[in-house]
Amino acid sequence: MSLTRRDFIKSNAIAAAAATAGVTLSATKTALAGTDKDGVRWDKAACRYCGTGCSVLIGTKDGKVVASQGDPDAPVNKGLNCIKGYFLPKILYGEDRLTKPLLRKKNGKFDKDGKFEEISWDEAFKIMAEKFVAARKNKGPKGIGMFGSGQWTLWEGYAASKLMKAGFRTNSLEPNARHCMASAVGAFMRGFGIDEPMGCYDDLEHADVFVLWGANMAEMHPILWSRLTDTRLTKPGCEVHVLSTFRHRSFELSDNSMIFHPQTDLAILNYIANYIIQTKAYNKDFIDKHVNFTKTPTDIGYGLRDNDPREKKAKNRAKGKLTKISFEEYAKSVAPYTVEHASELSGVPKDKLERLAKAYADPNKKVASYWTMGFNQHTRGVWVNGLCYNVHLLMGKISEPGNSPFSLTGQPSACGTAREVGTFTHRLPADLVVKKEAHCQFAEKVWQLPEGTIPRAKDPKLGKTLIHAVAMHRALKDGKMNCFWVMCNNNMQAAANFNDESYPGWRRAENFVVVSDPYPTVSAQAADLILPTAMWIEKEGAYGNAERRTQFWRQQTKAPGDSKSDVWQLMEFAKYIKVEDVWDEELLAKKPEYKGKTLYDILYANGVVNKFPFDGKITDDRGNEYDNDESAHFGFYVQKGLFEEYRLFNTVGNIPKKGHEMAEFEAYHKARGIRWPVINGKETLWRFREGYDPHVAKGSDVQFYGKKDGRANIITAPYEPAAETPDKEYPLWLCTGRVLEHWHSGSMTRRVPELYRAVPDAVVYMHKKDAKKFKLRNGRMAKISSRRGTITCKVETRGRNHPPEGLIYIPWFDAGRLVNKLTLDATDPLSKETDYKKCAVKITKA
Amino acid sequence: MAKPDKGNKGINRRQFLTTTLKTACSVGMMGIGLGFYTQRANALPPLAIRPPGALPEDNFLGACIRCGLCVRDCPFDILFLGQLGDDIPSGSPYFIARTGPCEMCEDIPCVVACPTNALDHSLTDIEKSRMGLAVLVDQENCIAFQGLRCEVCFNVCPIRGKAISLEMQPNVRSGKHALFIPIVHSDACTGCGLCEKACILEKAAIKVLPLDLAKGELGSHYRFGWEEKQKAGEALVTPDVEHQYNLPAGVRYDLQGEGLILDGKTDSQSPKSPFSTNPLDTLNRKQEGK
Amino acid sequence: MENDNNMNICSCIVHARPENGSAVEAQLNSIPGVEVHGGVEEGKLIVTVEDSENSSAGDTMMTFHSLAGVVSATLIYHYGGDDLNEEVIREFN
Repeated sequence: MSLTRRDFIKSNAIAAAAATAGVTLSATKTALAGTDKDGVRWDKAACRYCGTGCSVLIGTKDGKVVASQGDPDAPVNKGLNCIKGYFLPKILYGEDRLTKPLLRKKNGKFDKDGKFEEISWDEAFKIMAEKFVAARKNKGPKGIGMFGSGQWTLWEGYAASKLMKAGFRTNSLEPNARHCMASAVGAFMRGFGIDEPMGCYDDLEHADVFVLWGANMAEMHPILWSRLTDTRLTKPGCEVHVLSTFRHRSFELSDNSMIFHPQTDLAILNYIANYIIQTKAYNKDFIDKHVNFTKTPTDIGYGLRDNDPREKKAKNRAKGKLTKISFEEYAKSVAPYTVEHASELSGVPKDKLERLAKAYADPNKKVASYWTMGFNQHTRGVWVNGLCYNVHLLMGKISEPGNSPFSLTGQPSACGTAREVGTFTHRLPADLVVKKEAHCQFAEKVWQLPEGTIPRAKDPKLGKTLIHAVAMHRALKDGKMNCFWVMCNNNMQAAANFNDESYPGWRRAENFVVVSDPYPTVSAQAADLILPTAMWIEKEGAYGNAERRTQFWRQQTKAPGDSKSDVWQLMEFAKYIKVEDVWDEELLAKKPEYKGKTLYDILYANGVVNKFPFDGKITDDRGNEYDNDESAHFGFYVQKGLFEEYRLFNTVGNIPKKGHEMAEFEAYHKARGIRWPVINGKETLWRFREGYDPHVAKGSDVQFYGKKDGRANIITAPYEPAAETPDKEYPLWLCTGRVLEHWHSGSMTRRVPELYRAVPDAVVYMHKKDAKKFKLRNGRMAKISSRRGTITCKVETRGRNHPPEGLIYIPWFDAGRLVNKLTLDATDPLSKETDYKKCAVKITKA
Repeated sequence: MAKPDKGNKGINRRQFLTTTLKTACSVGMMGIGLGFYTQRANALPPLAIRPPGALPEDNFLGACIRCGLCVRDCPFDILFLGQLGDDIPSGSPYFIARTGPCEMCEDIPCVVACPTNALDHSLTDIEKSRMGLAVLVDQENCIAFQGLRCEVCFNVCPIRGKAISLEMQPNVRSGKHALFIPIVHSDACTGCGLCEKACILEKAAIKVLPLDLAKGELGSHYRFGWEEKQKAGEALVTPDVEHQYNLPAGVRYDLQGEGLILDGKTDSQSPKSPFSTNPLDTLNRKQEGK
Repeated sequence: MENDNNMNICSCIVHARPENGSAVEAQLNSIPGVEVHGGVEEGKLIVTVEDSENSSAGDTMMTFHSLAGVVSATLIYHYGGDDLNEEVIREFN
């Protein structure tokens, strides 16, 4: 919105005179922007930030985004936005957008210690190809890696999955969802055999009781919170229970507020299960028909490096194989979790715990549980997700309107991209997994590849090929992985233990790190090659939100300078790789017609992806025209081709796993999102429930068809302590997280001046008594140290977050004070997701 | 944040005004406009706010010796001195909330520094200061009033919950969202201006105004009955004896609460009994109970 | 602190009989630096005046009363300061 001071003053002057005269002027006279309403083209797009999936309308004029509004016809947000959404167009126009590829050089040549210099795309891809091919040859499939994103559009993730798994023949592909949703995914797979929530956002209107497990929806899912609040205000008897390790904004609506000691959510959930069993409140009919009881190995370690004493001590390190048990055995396993025991461990008063348990146990109350990073970023993340399902399954409160255990997502396409199209090391598109031979063979068939192209989890020739995000950083540090491509996220800021793991790995002499980003982020600063990236509506895109809603948008504007979208980068780079460089002769002999071809020819110009012609413009139903820069470059409708090939995973014959059906490409441009599975053009709101989900066999009422016997798993797991707990030297818990005004690492929102002004820097929230104890004062700087690093930030004893004594909270959006210098890279040994919520720190005056 | 360039603009404006005024007088026209004009352009700008503890404006100007010690001791450098040509009496301290609000230091160094008590030394609790009052002046443009999730003013308020609270109301337009309306409470707001600074609109919808400008005043004869009752801790007039009513069976009357209650017709949302409508549910559970 | 880039922007209400509104509007619009933004039908014309090459905003305004059909002219708003045509508003109001 270009506006000079002169325009501004003038409009003030006009407004003042008009007000005094009592004359009404047309809005355009006094409006500060969009002075000429004519000529603005409006189109829809999904919001760029969180997993809520609000829809916005984008107003474009002369190729520039000049206006935006919440989409009044979008069912998720009905025209509303949060404060970040209000400023969406401004994320495109930060003054420091990257517009040219940049390579570290000295004397005209690449040098790890050189300074960034502008280069051409051709030069960038040539050096990338040289480095990636060499590392793949010398170090095997784990010698290279890619770290993608739940912010990738659907086809970007799909194109990346294909390039890595089928092209480079490596499973070293991970999305940042590993830091975010991996524990939720793990629990879905173990519990239900199929990923993603059974319910949808309509539960927000249908539940009688809402329980927030560690999630601060008030700030992190602002529009969903608005819906939840409305229900609380308007529905008689509705109540809200909020659990967290510190007091935050969501407590403002809470009827039952519970501050628990970190990690004791495990104990509280087991207490609720025990209460349900002791009071015989459980739904016997439901568990008899639809549930299996199992147990999981305990004492599984903390996902740290092999030489860590905590790992050596663990009896069943990283083990997760389930064993069937009886209901009685299950009841016995939770019996120790009495209200007294749970209260003692958690610090939550008994009456509050009882009130919570009663809400779950009341057969006439519909309960919706919501969680995000409190459960997922947890060294027992898969367990704790599962314990919540246990409670819902015991009561049969699942898969129907209002009865909903619901895992919220933090990224716009954590579901759609990171999970659905297979960007995890262990996954393939549409819920298929690398570990299953049939799934690999099916993917190879869809992709027209010789059998054995996709490296198996334990490959006869390549060895163990799976490598998760945290392990990638460790492999870089150890020199086992030499090439790393980071796209669409800011992993140097996001990954835990910056000083000991992330930074030394990226900067290791023989390593070559590529970062694709629109802005000079902390990651870009630590890279060797930076690729300028077209973002959000500068390309045609698709996101899938937390309620399985897939939303499309068209390209609204051109990216600045030489910036190119991720899908362009992936496909264009594939042209620089000859198949002989990355496939062995034996494999190539199975498909001799591929000899001499590039990965681009094999993966994208394969007759399927390039099936749909492109005539130079995309036209909508009202006759508006849109660019599509990728299609113009490659000569076919890129996004449609990739999506339609992806759809084959659920439409061709002999599919190994049903339940992931998508609508045809064009349908999504005509709707504000459609919730999958889409069968015969009809979307599915609640899964696994007869009548709502066409996959459920008639007469079975409920069927968890992700599992062969149609039964969900109740998985018992005990309370086990956190990886690092406060002690004499480091006496405080550190919890990290977000604020409403900034999204994730702040690389976009900190470039919106108004948001920056609203919340400029991260502060350390702490209890007044702790501040006094450590001789700190509100508003003054403090030094916070852990065993791994030190940062300084301003003390805040007031404000929106109120930690109890013994815990401090620091948001991680601030590139100026990297809280991940403090955090420990302990992960859930099952999901490999880092616990960003618990480590031990000390604090002193700066 | 750059300091406002008050000096330059003031001088320019003054020069402009002088020339304009001369012309105006000589022509002897625009008489009506002149009064309005001088008033408007020269009034002490309501955006300039005195430091904490400042005496009422007249007394303050009498007591302030323009020493600048408060400005010197402000750890956040938010205070300025009026300069020649400004609309603010020269040498007197002020701050502009939108660009540099008061950070509300617990030890109030500006007050401590004041040698003349122009900033009242009896102010020792910063939360008791009344520099002005935040007012949400523009409800039409405030995006929270439209249901957008902003609430930045509430979040940044140093005594949030007391000085600014959120009132939650259903959003009738969308039918399934809520509004989170920021409400300023004059009994707690210090007028520090952090809310005005943080307001994300191009022009702040919430502004700190001088107290006398910001506050309405109830007719001196009238009291809000519920407040008086709360203050007194009991009804000012003895409550009624218990009422008895002629009512059919199954119907009650709650005098102070809901009024007529038809017991037979409970709300569809609240359960009629602890049992499920499907008898099998209850039966199966009973079996297990044995 | 004289500044070559000194700029003045004023707004005023020019009163006219409603039936003369459009005639007055035409005359005003013909003066360099003057723009009419509305209020023509009501006879209360909302006018902005900026410095032009030959005349300061103040001088321009003085000529209003001499226009046929003008009953009175009232200054409402004045800004005087640096001409910051390039500066994009971001931080202040």
